Amino acid sequence: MRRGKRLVFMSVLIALLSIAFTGTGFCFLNLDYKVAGHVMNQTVIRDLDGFQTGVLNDTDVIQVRNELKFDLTMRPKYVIEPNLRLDKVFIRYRGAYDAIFDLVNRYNQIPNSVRGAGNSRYDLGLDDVIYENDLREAFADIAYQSSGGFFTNMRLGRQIVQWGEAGLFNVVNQVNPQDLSIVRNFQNPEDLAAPIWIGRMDISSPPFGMVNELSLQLLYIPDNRPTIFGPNYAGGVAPYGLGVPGVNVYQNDVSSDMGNPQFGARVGLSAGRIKTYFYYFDGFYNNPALDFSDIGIGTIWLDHPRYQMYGVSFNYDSPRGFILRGEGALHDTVPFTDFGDLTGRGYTGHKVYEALIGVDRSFFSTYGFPGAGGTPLSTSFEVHYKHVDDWDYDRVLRNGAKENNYGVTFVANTFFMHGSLLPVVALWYDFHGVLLTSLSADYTPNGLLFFKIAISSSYGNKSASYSPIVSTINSSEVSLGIGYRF
Amino acid sequence: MTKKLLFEVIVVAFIGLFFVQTSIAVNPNWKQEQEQGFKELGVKPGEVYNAENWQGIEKALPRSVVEWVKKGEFTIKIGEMKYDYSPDKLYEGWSMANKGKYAIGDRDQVILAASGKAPDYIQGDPFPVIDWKNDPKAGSKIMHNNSLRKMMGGSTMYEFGVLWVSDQGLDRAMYAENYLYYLWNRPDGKPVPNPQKVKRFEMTCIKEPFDLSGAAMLYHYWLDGSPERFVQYIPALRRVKKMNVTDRSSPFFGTDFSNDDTQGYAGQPESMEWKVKEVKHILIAMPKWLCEEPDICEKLPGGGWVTPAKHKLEFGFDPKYKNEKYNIPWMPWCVNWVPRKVYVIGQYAKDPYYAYGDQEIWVDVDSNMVFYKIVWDKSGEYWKTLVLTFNAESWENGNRLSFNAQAFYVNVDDKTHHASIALGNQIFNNRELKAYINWPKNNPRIFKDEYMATMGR
Repeated sequence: MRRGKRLVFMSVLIALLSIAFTGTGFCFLNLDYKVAGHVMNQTVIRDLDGFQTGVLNDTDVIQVRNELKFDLTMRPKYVIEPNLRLDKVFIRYRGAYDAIFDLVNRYNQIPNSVRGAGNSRYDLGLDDVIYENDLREAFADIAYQSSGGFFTNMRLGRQIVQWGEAGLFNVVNQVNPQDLSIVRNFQNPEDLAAPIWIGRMDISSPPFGMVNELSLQLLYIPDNRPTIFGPNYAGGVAPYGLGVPGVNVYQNDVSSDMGNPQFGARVGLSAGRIKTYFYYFDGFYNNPALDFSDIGIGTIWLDHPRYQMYGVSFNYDSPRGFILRGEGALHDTVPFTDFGDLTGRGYTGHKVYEALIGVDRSFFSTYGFPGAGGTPLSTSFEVHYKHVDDWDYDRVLRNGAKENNYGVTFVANTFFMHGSLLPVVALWYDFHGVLLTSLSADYTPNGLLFFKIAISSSYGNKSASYSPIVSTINSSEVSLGIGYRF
Repeated sequence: MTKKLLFEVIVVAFIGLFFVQTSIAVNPNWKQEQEQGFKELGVKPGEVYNAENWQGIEKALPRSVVEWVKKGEFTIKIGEMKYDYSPDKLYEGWSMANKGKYAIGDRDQVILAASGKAPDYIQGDPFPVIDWKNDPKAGSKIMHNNSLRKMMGGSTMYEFGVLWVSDQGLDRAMYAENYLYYLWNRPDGKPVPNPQKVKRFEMTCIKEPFDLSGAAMLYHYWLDGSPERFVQYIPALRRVKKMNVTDRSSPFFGTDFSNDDTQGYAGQPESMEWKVKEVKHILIAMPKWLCEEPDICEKLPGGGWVTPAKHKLEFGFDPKYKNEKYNIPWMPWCVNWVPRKVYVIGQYAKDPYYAYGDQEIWVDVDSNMVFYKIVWDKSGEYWKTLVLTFNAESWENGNRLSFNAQAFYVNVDDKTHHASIALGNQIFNNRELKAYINWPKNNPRIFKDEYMATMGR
């Protein structure tokens, strides 16, 4: 695999150099490059039994993370811009050191290599969460503008592709897995997504008839990466591990090579006030299916079965001052924990139908909201429905989901102090009786120095095992950040 | 006798031709009009007005600006223009050829006077003659002219900065690029294919600071004047999101500017009602170097022209002005105040969700650029004032003169005593902010959602 990647990397490099020095591209003048980033410290305090049973009455500091993140963007400047050209090279680096693992002893039992040398790349050890040294994104854009008005862009490298219109739900957004080893859901989506190696091609048409733009995106993904969790070892669980004490939880990796890729396709159509996309994804389910075959030897495997997703999304810009958007998808085999499974794995695959409808609307008062200097209150409201096909809920055997599941979310934000202070409120109510709340504020007095505070807590029915957010009731978090942008 | 007459005619014709070739001015009386302005306003070049003698310019500035002078925040130094700050002869010729050709339709859109249909293409000002006293649609006509004037430089890309300035000093800065492609008013006078029926494309890409970099906005302004298409690329989400056009009146990244404040008014003239209140001489802010001559653009090897960006934009937050008695951090020290004749036009949003209440814009009669904008909130209380300056760009070896982009705009929110400054075309903080005029890299193919996404990350 490593050899294969090197081959791809070298080929891409040679292709880029060739384009830059071909007859049309030889007018390469110089390289315009820009470096920008931040250094920051984030400290997270966790209330171990959640705010529901008392605010900050049983706490641990679980993260003291010092992070350096920067982007390097390079764009060739052409004297005469050729139709086929190297458009951009983008690199994002993130390095970090989490001091909590040196400040407290409670994680000492976790080894640096939880499965020994030569095993899974995605079973993180202690070293992996103490230190980060990651070239998160590294890609090149090769653009071609045809005289007929078609625009083609090849983006090759490690990257993030986000699909759909939804805010807090991932209905069609299935390409990049999540990296939950150091952060929680509700964080910056860019930090939450795990970048993967993708060959991506975007083609968009010139306008015709009533159509502004017809677009096609094709994805070839040789990098099969699952959702990543913090180390979960029989002797101890890292702050963002899956949290099964006394049991080893290991990823059952899918091999990543050219012969076993994932595929994605998206067709977009924009006409008048409406824009719609159709999606197809054939890949490995990022979220884990808990495989209990080896529970006898104290191990749970995280399986990632292959599945297909067919989806659609749209947005509509209403002349009445709001945006209406929606998504719908069919996932053909989504794994659910089922102790009645006769194979002994402990899960069965089911069709899942999901639909989401959302409205974005800004509200103005006579003179903005108090202190907001005319800034409107921006709000988003979403309703989500999920149906699990051929599923019979059972309190003992199949308690991880119900056949029909409903949720609503509400997000509001505005600017205070001329954009220096950005407060955000996010609420997610799951109709199984759980409410998740997230309150955050970013303050940047001079655009360079910044402070962040975020509080996430959940309330409701702790026994609603079928709620996707029930596990958050027992661990509310307060995170405090300070940093400097450059 | 006939021979003598013929000789005199030829001599006069040659002298006339000489002046036409050496000057691109269209208003032969500009000097006299400037003198008239000085006379009416009772000011002279070189005079300085501040909190001690503000009464001398009380009638020469918007009420809010007079208040700034009275409070000791602004110092007004009178200057004079040394050239005709109005469009070139070629443009004037195109405009005059439109006399009687266009009219205003029921939605305040431009229509062909003969057929009542929407025009596919317009070259020059559609309404070269304005009867502001008798024509109830005069305001709308002036703003359609204004919208066409901004297209004079053809496809343009300009680098710009936006500063957040409090009464304590400069808070923070943002830098960005603005890409514009105009399908009307082509610089060579020749229409280009326009299958999308678009008047203009606009794309703004944020470059700094780090937390905003990669964000981009794309607008399609339709020929028929219907509400524009507005999408935004949000790099943290890696998605192109549809935005409602009402968001044009909400703050631009938390600054005191809204999207519509660009160039005084960057939206569709059709989306507002306009009423000319009066025409009068006033003082406008003009960067000192632009009082002397326009920016002489340099030809680019790949085609197009670029502004030289050789002058410094300086404001009150600069340490060199800290001992000035009459100063505020957003005071533009790099300007003189020169007399100009303006239309004072009331601006009223048709969209009930628009964030601003009544507005008033002061449009220069000759250049047709907006030099002041005053905004009231929806309860009718005074809110903010924009002071705008426009770069004059001489290109095509001096044959063209256009006013595409800002030198700077100062937008003062008098409710919170805070300001934002947009700047371009010159040097700020050792950074060259240039404008690329009639730039072939800008073409309709780049104004697409997918291309905008690649401009981000």
